[in-house]
Amino acid sequence: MKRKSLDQDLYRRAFSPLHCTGEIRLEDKPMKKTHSLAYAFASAAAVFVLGAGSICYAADIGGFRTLLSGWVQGEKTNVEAVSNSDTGYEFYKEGESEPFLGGGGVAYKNGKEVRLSAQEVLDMNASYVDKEEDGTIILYDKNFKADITDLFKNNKAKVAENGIYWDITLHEESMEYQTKRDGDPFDAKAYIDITERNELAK
Amino acid sequence: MREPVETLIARYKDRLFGAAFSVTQNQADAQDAVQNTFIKLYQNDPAFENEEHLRKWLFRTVYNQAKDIRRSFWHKNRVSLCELSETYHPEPGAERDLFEAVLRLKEKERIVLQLFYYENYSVKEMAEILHLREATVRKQLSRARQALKHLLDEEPL
Repeated sequence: MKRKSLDQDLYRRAFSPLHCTGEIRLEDKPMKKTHSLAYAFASAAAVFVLGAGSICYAADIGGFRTLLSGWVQGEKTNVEAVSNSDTGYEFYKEGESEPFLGGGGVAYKNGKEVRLSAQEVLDMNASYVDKEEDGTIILYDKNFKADITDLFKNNKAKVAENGIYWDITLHEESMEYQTKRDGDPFDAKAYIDITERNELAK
Repeated sequence: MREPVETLIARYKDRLFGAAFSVTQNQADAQDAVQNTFIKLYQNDPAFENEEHLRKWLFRTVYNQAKDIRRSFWHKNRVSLCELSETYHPEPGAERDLFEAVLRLKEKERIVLQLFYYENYSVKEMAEILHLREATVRKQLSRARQALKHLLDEEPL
């Protein structure tokens, strides 16, 4: 088998750090998720402290609850985070009994896995794209919020806002997107600047 | 052949995770796909002719599980490309460039690269695992390489 076009050893080195870190439990039945879980990885430079002003206390039910403040759907919101596993949290808005978000993750520091704080996970979810029940696609980035439904062509959109480049693909029952934040991509001209588009539309 | 599932978990979970991750690009979903695969193995307890037969079954199953998870709910891939890549390769270099470039490819291109270059499967074997024709796999592999070359040549990652 020819493998000249791509170095197989390089590929293996690049992908060998991917590890299945969670415990495999055979007694469980396959689970269906009821809400989206945004498990995240953090950069090696992530800070491993809770945000200033956060308070931890033991809840009556469940694990430790943490009071946080973060951007949720474009608005600064007080949020309660409950630890639900070795690396995950569920996030609740004040006064609500159902979590609006779940997620967690680990960062690698000095070769060791370090659990992300609830604040870090919440902050990583301040920028995202969501599809409303009526089919409207909304892009959120902290306090920025824009309807980008009309920017899709053949279920794909390339948009830019505040230095972040978004590649978004809609599937029949799902959506995926990638962001680039550390400079312009090679095809930067292909991205529609949302603010510019909105200004022109006025 | 039959081996305790726990032994197979230790042997295969990371490699299955890599294959699942190439579809989901999401740690939690990939983890679920691996877990569901081993539960299926444990519950069905199928008999395998040999190690290769078992291995193909595992990769076919984890691939289908990963695809099902993506379809089963409103999956949102919220992992930023730069955040993800820095997780594994904080220092810039060829491995990081390759890792980031592969993440920008289409799902069907990522999975063929993973099976071909990481798992060392032949085109014929990949066709069996992915339920595709050999010609289709060959075409996807070729497109994946082309797209990768384009990204690595053109884009300063």
